[in-house]
Amino acid sequence: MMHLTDEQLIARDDVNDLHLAECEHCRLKAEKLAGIRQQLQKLPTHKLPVDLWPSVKQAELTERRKHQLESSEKRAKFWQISSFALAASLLVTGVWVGVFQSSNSQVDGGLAEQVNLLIDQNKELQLQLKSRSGRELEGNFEFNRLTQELDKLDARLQRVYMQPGNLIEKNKLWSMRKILLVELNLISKDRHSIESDKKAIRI
Amino acid sequence: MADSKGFSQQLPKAVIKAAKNGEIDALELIYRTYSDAAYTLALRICREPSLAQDVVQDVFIKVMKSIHSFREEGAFAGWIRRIVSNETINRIRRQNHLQLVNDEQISNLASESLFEQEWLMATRDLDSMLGKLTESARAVLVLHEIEGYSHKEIGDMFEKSESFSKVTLSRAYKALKKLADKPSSKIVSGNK
Repeated sequence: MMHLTDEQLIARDDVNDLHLAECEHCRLKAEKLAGIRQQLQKLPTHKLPVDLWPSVKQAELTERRKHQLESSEKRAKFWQISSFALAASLLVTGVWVGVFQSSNSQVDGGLAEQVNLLIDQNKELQLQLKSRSGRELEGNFEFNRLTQELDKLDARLQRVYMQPGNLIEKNKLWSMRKILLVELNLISKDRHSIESDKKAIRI
Repeated sequence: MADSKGFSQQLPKAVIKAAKNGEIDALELIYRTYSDAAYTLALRICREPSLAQDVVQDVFIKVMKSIHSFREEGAFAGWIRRIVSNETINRIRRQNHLQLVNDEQISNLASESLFEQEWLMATRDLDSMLGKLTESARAVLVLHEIEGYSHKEIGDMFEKSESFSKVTLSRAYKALKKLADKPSSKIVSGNK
């Protein structure tokens, strides 16, 4: 009678199992192999000698910060392209609806005038910012953060102009927007001066 | 004891979900639960404590990074174990430690005497005997006989065929038997 090779015993299949059912010689060998396998299963476990969690955690947090920065840069780039268009559309459409509505009420007249003034100031600051913004600001964390804030504020302004009235809210949002634009202009002005100084030194 | 359960430990689904949402506490719990098991597996294969530690660190960084891609229908511990196995094999392959069996050697292997006695029962220190095997033999033995991977899965890990795994395992048993037959590896009566 032919017997199974060691290789056939190690890698059993249905045909080999049929043979084992009929052959005591091979069955005994299979039992010995099972005993060896049990011994292998009983090998001791090892305890990690050092706590690697602090370095794993640090790597994870660094990765997250990198990811945040990348997405904030993407958002900033998007904003640089889209925010001016968004602001322009607000000025051309929504604002005029709001101004028209507010002009119907004498009580709100003073506030409407204030809102109009804020809109003009925003427009002026936005143009100043546009003239200074360049690639050198792409990696500036604070600039990116403020542009994100501005982005959110523009979305809120759009929502406010979808509803009639609400001059107080409009006044508040345009004021906040003005402050953000002033801060953004300050950052871009500083950066612009640094870049000009660098150029001057190179010359 | 949690340490001895290794990869058979299971974490609640809520922990996996929280980890997928990026919660650091949940990620730490995953590390605390499986880091010893990961170290044990890596060390059994590579036998170098510093390399095994590097593997564990890289494995958990990978786990953190790609946990969002884990599909919850599979076993989470099995997913980590697979990453550990692949990472360890890749590391030792990169260091050219693996001595792979070529196809010509496959035909010269058939044997019928490996399992005639219970030779492993009489050995003194199985763990240190495993350390004397070649890395590929040890890796296949550990992955197939202890971790339960199929020959096909092991072949894939090594980017080799299924028969590579079968042949390497057979060679590992032969080498192990040879080591066990040496007088120095037998238990000496009364010398406990």
